Amino acid sequence: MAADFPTLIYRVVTGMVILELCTAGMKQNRIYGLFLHLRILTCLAGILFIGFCVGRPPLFGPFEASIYIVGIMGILALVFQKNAGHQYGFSLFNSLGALIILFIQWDKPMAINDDYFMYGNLWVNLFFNLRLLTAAFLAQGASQYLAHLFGKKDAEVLSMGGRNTLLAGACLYLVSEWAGSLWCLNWFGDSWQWSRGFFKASILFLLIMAVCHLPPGLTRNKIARGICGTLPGIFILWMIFYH
Amino acid sequence: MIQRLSSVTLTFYNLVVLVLLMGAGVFLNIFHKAAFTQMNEVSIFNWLSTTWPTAPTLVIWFFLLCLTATILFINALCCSLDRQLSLAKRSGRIKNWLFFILHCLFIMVLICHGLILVVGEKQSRVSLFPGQVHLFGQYEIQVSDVVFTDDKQILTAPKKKQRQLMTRKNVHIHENYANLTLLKNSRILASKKVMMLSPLRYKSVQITLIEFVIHQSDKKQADNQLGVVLTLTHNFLSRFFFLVYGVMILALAGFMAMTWKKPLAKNRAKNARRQV
Repeated sequence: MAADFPTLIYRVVTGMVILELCTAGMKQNRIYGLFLHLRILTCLAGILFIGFCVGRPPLFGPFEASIYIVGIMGILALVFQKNAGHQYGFSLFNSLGALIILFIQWDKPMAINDDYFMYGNLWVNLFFNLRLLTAAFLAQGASQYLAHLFGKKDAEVLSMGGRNTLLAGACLYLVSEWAGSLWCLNWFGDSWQWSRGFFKASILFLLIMAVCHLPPGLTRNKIARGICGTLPGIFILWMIFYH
Repeated sequence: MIQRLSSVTLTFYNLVVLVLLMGAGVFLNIFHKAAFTQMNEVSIFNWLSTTWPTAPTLVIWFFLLCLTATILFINALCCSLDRQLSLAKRSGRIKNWLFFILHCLFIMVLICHGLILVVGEKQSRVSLFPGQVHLFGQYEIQVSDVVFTDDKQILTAPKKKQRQLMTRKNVHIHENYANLTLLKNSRILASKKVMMLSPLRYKSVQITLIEFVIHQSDKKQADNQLGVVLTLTHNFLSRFFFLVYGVMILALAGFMAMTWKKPLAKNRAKNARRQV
C-alpha cells in the first residue's frame, strides 16, 4: 500500500495540473482555482507522506523533488494571483511548468529517495530542502517572465512579480548554499571544493546575478528580459533532475 | 576609465563569460576527475606546477577563471565606490545605503572565496590509528581510541554499495567516534570525541573526521585495527567567511523587503474578481 501511494499521489497531481491547464486555457477562472487548490492539497498529502515515512522533509530524488516543487509552485501561484488578480498567461505557464516537471518524473522511480546517514543533520536538511524551495521560486519566476514575454496585458505586473520571486529565490538559494558550505566544512574540512556540483551551483548564482544586472539596452528589450528571467528557473530544474 | 570599469554592461558580459567558464569546468571535470580531486587536496600553487605538464588546458582554464573573477571584483569595487556610494550619499535613502552595503559584502565574500584557496595550511586524508601521533605545523594530533559500534563490513564495502548501506538505521553518527587531542609543545590545547560532521575546532585549526578505515593488511581483525581518515586545516578566514556570507544574505533579504514591488494591488484584484 505504502509503495503504491507515491504513484497515486503522482497521478492525482498530474491529473489536477492537466485539468488546470485545460480550464486556464478555456478561461474558466473559478474551476481553474478549484483544481489549483486540489493540486496543492494533493502535493501536501505527498509531502506529509514523505515526512511520516522517513521522518524528514523532502530533500532529494526525482519523486520528492517533483511533488514538493509542484506543490510550492501552486501555493506561490495562489498568493500571486490573490495579490495581482487572475493572470491568464501566467496560469497557463505555471500549470505548463508544473506539467513539464511532472513529465520529467514520468519514467523515474515513484519512490522516496534512499536514506543516508547524514540526512539527520540540520545543515544537510537545510541545504537540500531550501534548494528544492528555490527551484519552486525560480520556476514560478520563469512562468511570470514567460507570461510577461508573450502577454500583451499586465506585462508590468508580471515583470514585477518575476523580479520579486527571483530575488526571494536568490535569498533562499544563498541560505541553502550557506548551509551547504557549513556541511562541506564539517564533512571535508573546506568551506567549498572544486567539483561539478560547485560549478553548477555557481552557474545558477551567476545566472540570477546576470538577470539583476541587465545592461540598459537589454532591460528595455522585452524579449531579452523575458528570456534572461526564465533561464535560472530552467537551469535549476535541470540541475535537480539531471544532476 | 572608472566609468567603464564600473558599468553594468561590463558586469553582465563578465557574468556571461563566468557562466561559460564554469560550464567548461563541468565538462573538464568529467575528463580530468583525478586532477580536480587533487585540486582539493594540495595547495593551489602545488597543483598548478604538477598539472601544467600533464593537462595544460586545465591550467589555462583556471587562469581565465581567475582573470574573469578579478575583473568582476574590480567592476564591483568601482561600481560600489563610484556609483552606489555617491547615490546613497546624495539621496540619503536607506535602501540605497543597503544596496551599497550589499555590494561591499559581496566584494568581501568574493575576496574570502579567493583567499581561502591560497592562505592557511592543509593536510588531506591523514590516516591515523589508536596510539598514533601526527605532526601538523606546530601542532600535534593524538588519537587515543576509535569506536565504531555499527557493522564494520560497511567500511570495507565498495563505494557504490557503501552509499546504499550507510542509512541512518545502519550508521549511528553519534555513536561512532575517535578521541582526539590537539597539543602544542606537549601542552594539551583541546580534546574531543570527534564524530563525522562534528570536527574538533581550536581557534582557526580544524580536525575533521572524513571516514573510518580498517587496516588494509588485516581486514578481518578486531577493533585495534580500526582507524580514522582526517583532514587537518588551519585557516583563519573560515569563520569570517561564514559571518560575512550570512550578513550578506541578511542584507539581500532586507533590500528585497524594502524594494518589494507591489502590483496595482487592490484595484486590480477587485477588477479581476468583478470580471469573473
